[in-house]
Amino acid sequence: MNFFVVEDEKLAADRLIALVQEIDSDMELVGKADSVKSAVRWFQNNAMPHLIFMDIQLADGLSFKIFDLSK
Amino acid sequence: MLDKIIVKQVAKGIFFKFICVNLIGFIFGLIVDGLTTFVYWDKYLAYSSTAGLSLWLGNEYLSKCLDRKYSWFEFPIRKLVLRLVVSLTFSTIVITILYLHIWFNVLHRPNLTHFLEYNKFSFLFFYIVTTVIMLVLHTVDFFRSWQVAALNEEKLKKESIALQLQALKNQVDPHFLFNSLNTLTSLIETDSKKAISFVKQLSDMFRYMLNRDSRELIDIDSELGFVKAYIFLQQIRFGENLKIQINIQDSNFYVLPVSLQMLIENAIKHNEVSSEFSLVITIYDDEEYVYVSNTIQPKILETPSKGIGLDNLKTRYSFFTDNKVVIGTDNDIFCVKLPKLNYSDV
Repeated sequence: MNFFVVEDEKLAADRLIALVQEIDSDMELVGKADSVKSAVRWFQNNAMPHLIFMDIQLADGLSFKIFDLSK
Repeated sequence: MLDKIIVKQVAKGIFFKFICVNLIGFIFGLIVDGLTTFVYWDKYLAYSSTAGLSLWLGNEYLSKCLDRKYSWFEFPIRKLVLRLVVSLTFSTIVITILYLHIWFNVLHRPNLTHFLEYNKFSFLFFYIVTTVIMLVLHTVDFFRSWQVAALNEEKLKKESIALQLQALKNQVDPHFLFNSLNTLTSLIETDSKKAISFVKQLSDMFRYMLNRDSRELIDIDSELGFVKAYIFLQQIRFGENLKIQINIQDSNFYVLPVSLQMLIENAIKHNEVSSEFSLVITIYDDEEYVYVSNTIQPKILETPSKGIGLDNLKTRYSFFTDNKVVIGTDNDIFCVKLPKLNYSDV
């Protein structure tokens, strides 16, 4: 299983990734993004991961905007 | 219901005044005319009531009119003199009418010869009584309005303390605290040494915010110390994505506490801070102003700022200086100019 992390604070992202892999060491991180724009770009160019973790307040706006822009 | 109470009160007041003026009238009569006063009691009653009541009520009304025009604290002497002049003039008119009536209709004198001579003691007595009563009323009034003023001042003080508390609550943004604690959690696991200095800087920051009176000034070095603690915390969160340059030449001026930090916080709040678009904030000064500027890179769907924080800052500065806080944008740069303050300004 693979997963993707959307989080604008590097420390929080690192901690989340560590927590996930602590629970299941088979979890594979396929990428991370710290803004709405970079997340949208990633989703347009890559296969959809199995699981996505999203913070709400991102560097350039709310992460809900990613759903609108990725249609 | 209310009307009834008011009518009752007015009636009570008039009755009290009626008794008073008649007492004064009879005492005056006893002094001037002796026991014959009791023979002519009906006349004394009539004169004392009409003259006394019209004097009292009239003077009271005139004082109230004057009260509305002049406050005690702006013109205390002018008010006292004006009150005396107005009430003595009014009293002279009332008393003269009364004595003219007695002169012609009771004493049946054909003309005004000897009128003043005959009545000079009565006039003198009236003037003394009126002046004494006026002075007493005046003193009572003065202390009463003083009391009201003292009460108001106390009220204002309380309000200002409440405002201060509110300002403090706004300053200590709960979001900021939770974000910091969140960062701290990660730091404890990854870099416990950094976590220790993080806690120290956080506590320094809160101590500074809680100890400052928002109405006082703070020297630029202390404010910069606080700003640096704040930047340290934010840079742990944002890493290289947040770049802040401080270039203050002069250390001999004052600013309002937490003002520089608020401007940095605003810049972070309204702009994108990401690996792709790092936010650059610059703090610098010239002869008269401190500048806080940042690159404009608004967030997507940014709700327009209400500018309450900036308006507050402008108002707070306006208490200390005539120089304005200037907010401007120029070529993708947002910049706020804060006037440098000196203690001589205050």
